[in-house]
Amino acid sequence: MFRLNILNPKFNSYLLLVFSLTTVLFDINFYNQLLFFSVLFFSIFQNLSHYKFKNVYSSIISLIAIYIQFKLNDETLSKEFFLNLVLILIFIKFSEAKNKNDYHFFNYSIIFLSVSTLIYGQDFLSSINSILLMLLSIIHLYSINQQTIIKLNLEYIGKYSLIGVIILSVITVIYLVFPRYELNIKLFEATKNNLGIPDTIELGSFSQISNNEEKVFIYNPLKNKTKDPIYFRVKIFDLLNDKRSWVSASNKNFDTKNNEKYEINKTYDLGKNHSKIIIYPNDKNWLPILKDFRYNNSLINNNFINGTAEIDKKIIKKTSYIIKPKNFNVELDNNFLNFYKKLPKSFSQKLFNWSLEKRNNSLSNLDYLNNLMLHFANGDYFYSLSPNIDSSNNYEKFFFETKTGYCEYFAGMFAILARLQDVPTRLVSGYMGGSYNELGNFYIFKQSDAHTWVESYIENKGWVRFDPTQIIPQINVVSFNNVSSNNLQSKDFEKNDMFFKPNILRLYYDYFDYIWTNKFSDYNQKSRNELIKDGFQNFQFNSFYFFIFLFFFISIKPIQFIIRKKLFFSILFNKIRLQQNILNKSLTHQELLKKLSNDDQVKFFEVFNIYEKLYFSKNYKINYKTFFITNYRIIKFYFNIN
Amino acid sequence: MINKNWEIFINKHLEKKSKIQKNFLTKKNLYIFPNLNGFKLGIFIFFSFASSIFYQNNVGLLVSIIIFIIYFISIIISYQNLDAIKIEPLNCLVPNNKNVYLSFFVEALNNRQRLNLNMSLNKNKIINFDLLSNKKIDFVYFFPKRGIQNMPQINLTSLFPFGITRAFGLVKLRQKIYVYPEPIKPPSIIINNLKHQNFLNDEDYEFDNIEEGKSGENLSRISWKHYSIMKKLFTKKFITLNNNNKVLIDIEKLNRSNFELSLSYAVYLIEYYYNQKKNFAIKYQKFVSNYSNSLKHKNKLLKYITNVQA
Repeated sequence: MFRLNILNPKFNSYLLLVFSLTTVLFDINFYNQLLFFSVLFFSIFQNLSHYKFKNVYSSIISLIAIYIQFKLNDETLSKEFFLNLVLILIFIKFSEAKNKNDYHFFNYSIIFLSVSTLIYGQDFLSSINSILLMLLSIIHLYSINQQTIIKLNLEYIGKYSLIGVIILSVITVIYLVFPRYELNIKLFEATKNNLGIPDTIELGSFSQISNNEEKVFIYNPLKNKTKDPIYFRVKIFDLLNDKRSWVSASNKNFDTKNNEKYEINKTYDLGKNHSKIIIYPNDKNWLPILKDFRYNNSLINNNFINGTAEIDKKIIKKTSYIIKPKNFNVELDNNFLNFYKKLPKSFSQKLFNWSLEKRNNSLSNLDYLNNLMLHFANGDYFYSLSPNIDSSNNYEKFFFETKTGYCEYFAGMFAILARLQDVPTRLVSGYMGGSYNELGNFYIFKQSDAHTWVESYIENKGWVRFDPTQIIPQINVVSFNNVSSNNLQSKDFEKNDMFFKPNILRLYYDYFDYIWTNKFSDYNQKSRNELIKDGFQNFQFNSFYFFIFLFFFISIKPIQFIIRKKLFFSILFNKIRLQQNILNKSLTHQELLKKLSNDDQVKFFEVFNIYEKLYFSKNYKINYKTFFITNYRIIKFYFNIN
Repeated sequence: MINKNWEIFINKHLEKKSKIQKNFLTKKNLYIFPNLNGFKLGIFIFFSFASSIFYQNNVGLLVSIIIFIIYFISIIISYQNLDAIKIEPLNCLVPNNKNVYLSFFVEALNNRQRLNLNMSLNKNKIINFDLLSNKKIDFVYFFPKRGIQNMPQINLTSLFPFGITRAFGLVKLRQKIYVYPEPIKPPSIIINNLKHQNFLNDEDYEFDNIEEGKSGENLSRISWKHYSIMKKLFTKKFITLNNNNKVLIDIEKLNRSNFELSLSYAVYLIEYYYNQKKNFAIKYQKFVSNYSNSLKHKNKLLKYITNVQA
C-alpha cells in the first residue's frame, strides 16, 4: 500500500495522471472522454500487473487510440488533436514504466503537456492546473531519485527561497525581453469553430448559433452598468443577392461600379473614456465594436463607412484591445445612398403593394419606418428560436403566413420593406446584451448573444438603428434568448427568474478568469516595450518598491543576529583586556574574570556563567530574555554607561 | 572505449586537482557533469529551443526554459550537496594480508545537510549515506604488502536531486597509513623460551586469601592476628606474580631463515604481551626499544616493524 504523500512516487504518479487528464477532459466530447478513461484504466492495470509482451499490447492500444482520436477530431490535424496525442503518450508511457528511466520520460512528457495547455488554455483554472501539474512532475522527478528530503528549518527555507527569487527574476527577464509568439505549430491546422457571425444571412442561418454557450469576448466599459442594451457591431450586410440572401459588399464595389462619393470628416475626440475588449481566440479577422467608437491600434483597420473593424492577423490567442469614442461624420452622396436601396429584380409584388399602402399613409420616411415597427408590435408576430426553416428565403411567406421567426427574420423583413419604399437601409449583425458581472464590472458576450438589427439612413440624422426583434410583445415570445431583459416584464418570467439567477460560483469564476486574463495573458509587445522603457528610463530611487527592497536588504543581518542569538563576548573580553592592559590573548575566561575588580566580578559573574554554559555544556539553550539582557549589559559596559 | 578514455582523462585531471587541497572536497576538486539521462535531456532542450526559433513556437520556448531551469537547479543543488566536505582517517595502523576496517570521519562544513552521497575507496565497494553534520564511515580494505603507504583515494559522487547531473570528486588524504606484517602465532618453543627467560628473574609474591591452617605447615605463613581473635590457626596464601617481568623480543632470534616470518612472530608477541599487560621491548640489530606496556609504546613498535629493512 502507498501512503497519501506527494513525496511518495507511486501516489504522486497517480496524481499526475489525474491532473494531466483534467487539462484536456473538459474541452472534449463525451466519446473522447470515454476513450481517455478507458486508456487510463488500461495503463494503470498494465502498470500494476506483470506479464509478457507488455510493449506489444500497449503499442496496439496506442495505435487504436490514435486512430479513434483522429476520427473524433474530424480527421483534421488540429491543435486539440495534438494535445490529445500527448496525453495518450503519457498514459502509454505510464503503462510501460518499470524503472527509474521510464519515469524520467513520463515526467518530461507531462511537463511538455502542461506547457502546451498553459499556452493553449489561457483561462484561470486551466492555467492553475497546468502550473500545478508542472510542480507535481518536478516533485515526482525528485522523489523517484531520492529517498529523503532536506530538513525544513528556517535557514534552509530562507536559502532555497532566495534561489527561487533569483530564478523567478531570471524568468521575468526572459519573459519581458524575449518576444512571445503564439502557439503556432505549422504542421497542424486549426479546427473549424462556429464563433462569429456567418458570411451570409439567410432565413435560419442563426439556428446553430442560438444554442452555443461559448464565450466570444469580454467588454469592460469602465463605467457602471447601463440601462440601455449594448449593441456590438461585427458585420454589415448591405446587398440582397438574387437568391435573396444578405451579403456584405466590399468597399471596392462602391467605388468602381457606382461612382459614389463620400467624405470622412476625421476629427477625433480622443477622450480619456476608453473601454477594454478582451477577445477569445476564434481564428477570424473581425472585431466587435460599439457605434461611435474606434480601435486605438495600428494593426486594426477601422471601417468608417460601416462602423466596423477588422484586424490583419487572425486572432489565435486571448487578446485585449482598447476602444475610444470617436466623433466624426461621414457625408454620403446620393448615388452612394442608392446602393442601400437596391433589391433583386422582380421582387414580390404583394409585398410592394403592402409597403406602398403603408408609405402612403405615412408622413415621412421616418414615420413610415416607425409604422413598420408598430406593425411588428401589433401581436401577430411571434418570436421563436425554433421556427420553420425555409431554404428558399421566402420572405413573403414569413410576412403574411407563418409570422414566426427570430432576429434575422424580422431584421431582414424590415430592411426589405424599407428598401421597397426607397429608404436606404442595411442589416447590422453583431452581439447584443451580454451577461453583466457585478464583481468585475464587465460584460461577457457569448455566441448565443449574436443578434441582427437594421440601420436606415434618415436625412439630417444619419444612420438610425431599428430593432424589430425587440418590439415583439412579451406574450408572443415562445422561447427567448437575445431579447433584452428590460422587455421581460410578464409574471411568468419573474417566477422563472429564480432559475435564471446566475450561480455565485460561476460569477466568481468568471471574475477570477477575467483578472487572470487581464493581468497575465493580456501581455503584448507594446506593453513589454512600455514596461522596459518605464522601468529603465524613469527609474526613481524614491520609489516605494526600492525602499521595500532596501529595508529588506538592511534588515536581513539584524534578523539573522536575533534568530541565531549571538552574544557580544568578544567585545566584552577586548574591553577587559584594554582596561587591565593585558597583552596575553590566551587567557581563559575564568582568568579574565579574576583580573577584574571585586565589584565588577560580582557584576559580571552571571555573564561569564552564561558564556561557560553556552560553550561547554551541550544541552544549554539560551532564551530570548537572557540573550537581550546580557547583550544589553555588555553594551552598557562597553560604552561606560551606568 | 570512449567511456574508458573519458574516465582516464577525468581521473588524470581529478588527481592533479586533488593534490592541491588534501582532505577536503571543495570547488577546486569537484566536477559536475550530466549523466546519460542528462545528455538526453540536454539534446531535448536544444531541439525544442531550435524549433522555437525556426518555427516561432511558443511551446518550444517555454518547454526549453522550464527544463533548463530544472537543469540549472539540479546543477546548483548538486554542487551545494558535495561542496565543502572534510574527510579525516580514524585509524592509520593496520596489518597486511587481512581484511581490515578503515574508518573515516566525514564532516559537512558550512552546517549544511547533505543527501544521497556515494563514497568509495579506490572505486571498490560503494557506501550510500546522508550527512547531517558528521558521520563515521567504515570500509573493508585489503593491503597485500607491508610498509608506509599512501591512504587510498576516496571517490565521492552524488546524483542529487533529479538524477540528471552527476557531481563527483576525488579526495586525497594527507595522512600516511602504516601497514605492519600480519601477526602469526610462533611455535610454542619460542613462547616457552621467552617464559623461561622471565622465570630466571626474581619472583614476586602477592597476598591472595586466608585459609584454615593444617598441621605441618610452615609457621612463617601463619596469621597471628587471626589466631589472637579466633584462637585457631589460619595460614596466609600467596600467589606468585611476575608484574615487573620484562620481555625482550629479539627479532633476529625468532626465525633466522625467514625475515618476514620473524617480523610476523614479533607482531604476534607484541600483541600477546600487550594483552597480558607485561612490559615488553624489541631488539633488532643495534636498535633496542624501551620497556613499556602502553598503547602508545605498542603502536610505536608496530610502526617500527612496518618499515624495518632486512
